[in-house]
Amino acid sequence: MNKKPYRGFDYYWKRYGIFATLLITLAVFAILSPLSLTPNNLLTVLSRSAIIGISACGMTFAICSGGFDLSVGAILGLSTCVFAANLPLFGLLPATLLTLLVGGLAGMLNGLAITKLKIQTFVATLAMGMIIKGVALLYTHGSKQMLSRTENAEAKIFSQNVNIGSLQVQLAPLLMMALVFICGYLIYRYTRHGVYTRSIGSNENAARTAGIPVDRTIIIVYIVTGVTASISGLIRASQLMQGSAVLGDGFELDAITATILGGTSLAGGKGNIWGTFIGAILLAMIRNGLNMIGLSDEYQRLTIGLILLAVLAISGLQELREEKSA
Amino acid sequence: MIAIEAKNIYKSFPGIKALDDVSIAVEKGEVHAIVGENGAGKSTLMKIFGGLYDMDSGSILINGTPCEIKSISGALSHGISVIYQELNLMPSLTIAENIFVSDLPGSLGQVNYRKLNQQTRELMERLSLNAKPTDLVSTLSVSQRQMVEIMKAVSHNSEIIIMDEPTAALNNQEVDTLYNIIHKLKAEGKTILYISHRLREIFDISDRVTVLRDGRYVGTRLTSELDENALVSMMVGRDISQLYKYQPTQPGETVLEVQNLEKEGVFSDVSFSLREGEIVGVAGLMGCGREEIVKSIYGLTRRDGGRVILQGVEKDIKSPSVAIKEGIGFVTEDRKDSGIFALMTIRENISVNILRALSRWGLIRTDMEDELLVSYTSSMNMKYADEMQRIMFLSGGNQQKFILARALASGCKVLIMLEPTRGIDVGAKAEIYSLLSGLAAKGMAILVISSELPEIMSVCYRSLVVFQGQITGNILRDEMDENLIMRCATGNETYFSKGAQI
Repeated sequence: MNKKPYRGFDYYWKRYGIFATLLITLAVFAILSPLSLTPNNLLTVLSRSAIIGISACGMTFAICSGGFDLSVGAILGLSTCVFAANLPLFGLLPATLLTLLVGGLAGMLNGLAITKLKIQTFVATLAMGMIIKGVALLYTHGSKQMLSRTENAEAKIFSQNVNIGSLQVQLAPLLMMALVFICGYLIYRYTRHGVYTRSIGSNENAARTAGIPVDRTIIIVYIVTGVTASISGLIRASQLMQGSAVLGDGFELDAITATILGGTSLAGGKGNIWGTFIGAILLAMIRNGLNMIGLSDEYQRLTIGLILLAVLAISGLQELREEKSA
Repeated sequence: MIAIEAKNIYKSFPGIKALDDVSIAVEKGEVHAIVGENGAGKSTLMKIFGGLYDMDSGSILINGTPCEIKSISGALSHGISVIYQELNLMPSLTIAENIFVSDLPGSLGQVNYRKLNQQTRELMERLSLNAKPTDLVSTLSVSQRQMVEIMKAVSHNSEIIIMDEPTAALNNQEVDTLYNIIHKLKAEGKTILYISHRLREIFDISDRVTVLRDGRYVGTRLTSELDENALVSMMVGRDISQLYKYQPTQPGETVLEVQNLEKEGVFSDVSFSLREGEIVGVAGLMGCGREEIVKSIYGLTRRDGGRVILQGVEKDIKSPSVAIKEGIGFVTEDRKDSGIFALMTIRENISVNILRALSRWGLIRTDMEDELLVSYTSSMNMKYADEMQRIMFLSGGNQQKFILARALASGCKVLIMLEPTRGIDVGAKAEIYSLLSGLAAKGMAILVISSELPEIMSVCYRSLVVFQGQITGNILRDEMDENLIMRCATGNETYFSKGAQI
């Protein structure tokens, strides 16, 4: 039917829109503050984006399956507490594994609430977020779990500065992000779980009718968002040398923002893992760039909000055009 | 007098000419049918009339004056109402609220419910809908909802009412009610444009018929001057008797047997069997429980009791994935709601439930997926651009073939097909029928649940009839007759053909 592919603005926007936005942002900051373009700063931006990026990668699956996860912020907070409290007791590896296990368990509870109790994802993950944060506060008696830098030097492993020539970079977050995204992409693109996730987001009724294990797939999706939030928690705890229930406050919205900026549709069925990757970098870049030119947090929020609206408006108008002509 | 006239309409979408120099003139007060295969351009033309699409060039004249229809409200202000295939009602609002939602009586934002319900009651009396204005739409049957859509159109006092496949979800009785309404509207001088795939309806209800083919105008005739074969050959350029012929097959061993299936308040004491190479129809009115019966066999819904025996062994089928493993294939009655994955590629739409067999070390082998796609698309004559095309861009007939291919790909021995040709055109219909009889010839046991009696009578070896959750008929092909089936379906008779296995 559609023999000649139609290649107008819409075609290119769909594929490269988020990347173009990133380049434009970079160019703007380069003009405003030449320091933004130094290799050191770019590497800083990249490693800063890791915390959001890793969770957003998990979030991409949740959104693609037609839901989302509002509890990742709380899971991140709880993870920092679990890590900080258990590292002095059990050592690095057990503490790390325990943290990931807690994240996975929290995610599994989300998945079970959604599939077995039939609670809407918004409510299920909102409530679970509150519960998890409550648990984290109780667990830490409402205070911070500080890690002593000398006694717990190995905690730095997730955020250690490494010198490469004249460049200094936090290598671990970068490697972890790369690993998460490569795995995420392979799973999304080449595995049953990826196809099942997309098919559920595209049409849950059809997925059930076709005999796809809908409940199991959804539970796995939320376990993965939980685990990725925990990985982000490990990095944050390591960077700050502390654990606190409030460290993830508002973080869930960052993860969702990065995902949506990257072109994953909240309506489900359409995901874009690399888009999420770039979305996370874009968020980090805006924060970093505005910091460099001396604008404070309120301007960062304002700018991110505006960019999010602009990107979605372009895509929304595009869909409207497609509807009118298809 | 001409009520609405379209002249030299052109409309193209990326890569396809949807309308290519189409002109049509509709007389005031007539029922004018528009027919054509899927992709012929009928829906596009109606959407241009309804203000949903802009045309590329051409002109529209209403009562002889040229006018531009830019939006849905623009169409309404020109006196055109369109009732689309998909109903656009809000289930949690009442009938009255749904009908007048864009024009609620009252002042200062306050709704005058007395007046609203009074207006609605008058309308309901006029069209003889048996319900209360305050009933929630969610409590209505599909045909009643259709009626509410029609009342919405009438409430705008539109002179021209366009109905796009209004009977797609109606059973025979409900179609009669719709006919009555159309007659009433016609008597009031309204002009009706009627789109349908069901040729019988065209002959039942229309005064004139316009045929479109591949986006082009073929011709307009007085319906009384045509017969079914002549109309079909206008539509497809071929004769219908060439399209599909029943191939008798001799049933073999029993493959599927169900005993005493029951679900409280829905069906009870349902027992029947299905043999290799046998196509068995299941007829019945909407709401008689036949969908629920077969869905419970497939594990899609629960039932209270009864046994399902496959090739002599009793099976506990708790979910569709178990059913597929045991060799039961299923094609849904509602492609859009529970059939296709609209956003996904055609390749994924075929392979999605046999991915385990197509994977190695957990990774899907796209080369094997492609092989699967090619083997089915070539043997089933499916048309598509490339393997990455999204299924939403295919015609209904092609989508249906993909869903059928998905069921077959999992290697089923029993195929349950609901409404095999709902909403697809004559050409594709005949192809589906040929596919089914080809499958039966190879030994597939097939259950066809259909609301269209001609369909059951043309493809089935025998047919079951269900009334209020019980089997009231088991009729062999030779004895099938529309009246007999209807009498069984309405509970006026039970008929079991002699010598027929049930």
